[in-house]
Amino acid sequence: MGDFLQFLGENIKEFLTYTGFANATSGHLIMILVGLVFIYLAVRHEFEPMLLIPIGFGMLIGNIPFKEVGLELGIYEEGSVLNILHQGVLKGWYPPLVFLGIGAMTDFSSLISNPKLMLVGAAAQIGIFASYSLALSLGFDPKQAAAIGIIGGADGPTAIFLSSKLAPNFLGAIAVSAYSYMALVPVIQKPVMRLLTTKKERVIRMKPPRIVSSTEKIVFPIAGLLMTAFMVPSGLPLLGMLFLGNLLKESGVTRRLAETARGPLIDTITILLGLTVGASTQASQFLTWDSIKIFTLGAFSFIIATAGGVLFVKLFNLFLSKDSKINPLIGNAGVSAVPASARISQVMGLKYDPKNYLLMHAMGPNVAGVIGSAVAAGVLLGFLG
Amino acid sequence: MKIRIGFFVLITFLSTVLYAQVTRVCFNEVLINNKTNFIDEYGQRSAWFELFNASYGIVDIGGCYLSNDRNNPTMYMIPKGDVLTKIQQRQHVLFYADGTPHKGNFYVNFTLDTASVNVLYFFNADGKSLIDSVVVPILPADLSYARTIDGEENWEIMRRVTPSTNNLTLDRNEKVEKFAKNDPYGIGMTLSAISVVFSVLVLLSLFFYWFAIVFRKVTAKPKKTGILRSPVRADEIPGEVIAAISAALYELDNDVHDIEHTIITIERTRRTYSPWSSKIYGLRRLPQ
Repeated sequence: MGDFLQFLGENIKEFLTYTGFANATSGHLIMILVGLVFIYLAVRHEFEPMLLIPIGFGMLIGNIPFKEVGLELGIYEEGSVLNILHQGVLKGWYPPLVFLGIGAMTDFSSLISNPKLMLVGAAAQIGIFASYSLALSLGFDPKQAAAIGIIGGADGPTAIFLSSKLAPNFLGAIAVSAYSYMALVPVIQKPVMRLLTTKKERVIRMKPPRIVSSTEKIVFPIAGLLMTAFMVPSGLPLLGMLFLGNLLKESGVTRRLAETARGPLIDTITILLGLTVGASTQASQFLTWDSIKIFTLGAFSFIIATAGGVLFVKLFNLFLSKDSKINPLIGNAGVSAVPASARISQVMGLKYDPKNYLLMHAMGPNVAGVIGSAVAAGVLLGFLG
Repeated sequence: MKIRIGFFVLITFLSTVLYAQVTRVCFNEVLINNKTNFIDEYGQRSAWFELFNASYGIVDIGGCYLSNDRNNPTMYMIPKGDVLTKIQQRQHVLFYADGTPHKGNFYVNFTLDTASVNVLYFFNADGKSLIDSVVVPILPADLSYARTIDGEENWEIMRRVTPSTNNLTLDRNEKVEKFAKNDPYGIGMTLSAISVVFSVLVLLSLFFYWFAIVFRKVTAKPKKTGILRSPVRADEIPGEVIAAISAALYELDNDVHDIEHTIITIERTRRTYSPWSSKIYGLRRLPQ
């Protein structure tokens, strides 16, 4: 009997060594706390809930402490379920699928009707390169700096795609940083927009966009792909899928495919992407000085990108006639966070002039920003890949 | 309809044929006079040559031919069905030229002459299409004739023989080092990359600016004399304007100019697009 009790005692003792309580470190607890904050922000303040809930919950999953004995549990253990799901991030095939869905749900009409707004989308990419320079000066090598800089594109899938190619070690930090700042777009962009615009500029009314024919809408993805991909072939996975999705939507003959791409497919990929990105933030891999630097650089790149877009519009206005001026409050939308940043333009515009609806105008630079950030990623990959 | 199907079949056929011919396997290194060099699995030294798959996909060379005589292209057929004849992307396979094919699939049935110039040929599975060839000069013992960089144009006589490995060992990333050395602050990268981004979007912008103009001209219907035409197309007139015109016509037709008890309701019949719609189902509270 004594031996049996001793045997039971030893078993329970051993079992306890496997529990999360026995293996928890302060790092795990910090990351679980961060995950809870993400979930709180999503539920309470509705900051990008469709991204922050999977990421936040993924952080909880990824930071449950356990003893590694080859049970294939953790995301970094070869062959585990989470590891298999994580391959979509590591190999970079989730982001193009997300882009397919984005293409299928995006209406490029405002961009086609006012093509000059594309330049605003290009100007906002300055945030990428400003943080690239800063990252270099902080001691990151060019590849790592480029992967960090792309956070300024405000495009989660693009950031994941590029960092998986150039700096896979920083993928978790970059992805979480990119999505966090995308969720915090209202907090980051509004003060920058207020600071850089005058009251007079904020009430500029823009000409309503013209009606775009369906032929133009069909030609847009085809011409868009050929022009952008011929210039930057390294951006092909993202640009190809973006424009394919848009053609599915606009062709009018592939309605079912477009519905799937912008519905079940993108939802599925978003869940898997968010979950695995969140789970990849295991404290042992994630809580480093480099991650803190990446977060700081990410905030910097978002601010510069917003400022770049707004200031470019102000500069552009100097060359435009009085009746075709652009409201600089849509400059922030050049960072591609669709449609959150365009929504900020709308909210800010209405605040200063309750009858000035900027949403449709802001969607132009917003979707140009998507193309711009994909092109920028392609350029960086071409230069450094 | 038949013409369309025929055209489709032709395009498919041509693309298949063209694709099949794009075989990027090439000779990469040859060693003819093997005195103290590489020993094969049988513990013997013989002449050898290396094939390199320069593409980024797996290529199966089973069924292709190797020869050292242009007039006899099917001298040695690389056996089919061997998993080892599938060359991984950017990888090599080694063949021994000792004239003993019974030793295995990678032992060819011809030998190479140490005293004269040798020419090696690699033919496609049809036994006619030449994929690659190399003229190997007379080589000193234990030196190889190899491409300077795997799969690239230039050949040289190499002292450092590299069977089944890269001819040039890449132990650093030159691109990244160049950027780190010449552009420590990222100014060059910023200027060049942002220029490319702007160029692409300017190009796209100009295209659609001109496309809209041309499209409108092409689709504009010719004017007919004697018929009153509106300067704008019907689908370009806002709904409110149409409603106002309809109200005026209604008043005119019914002579109700001074009778104001008719109520006109402007109702949108078409659901206009809003970028909100993409996420509308995800909102817990509808915007006020």
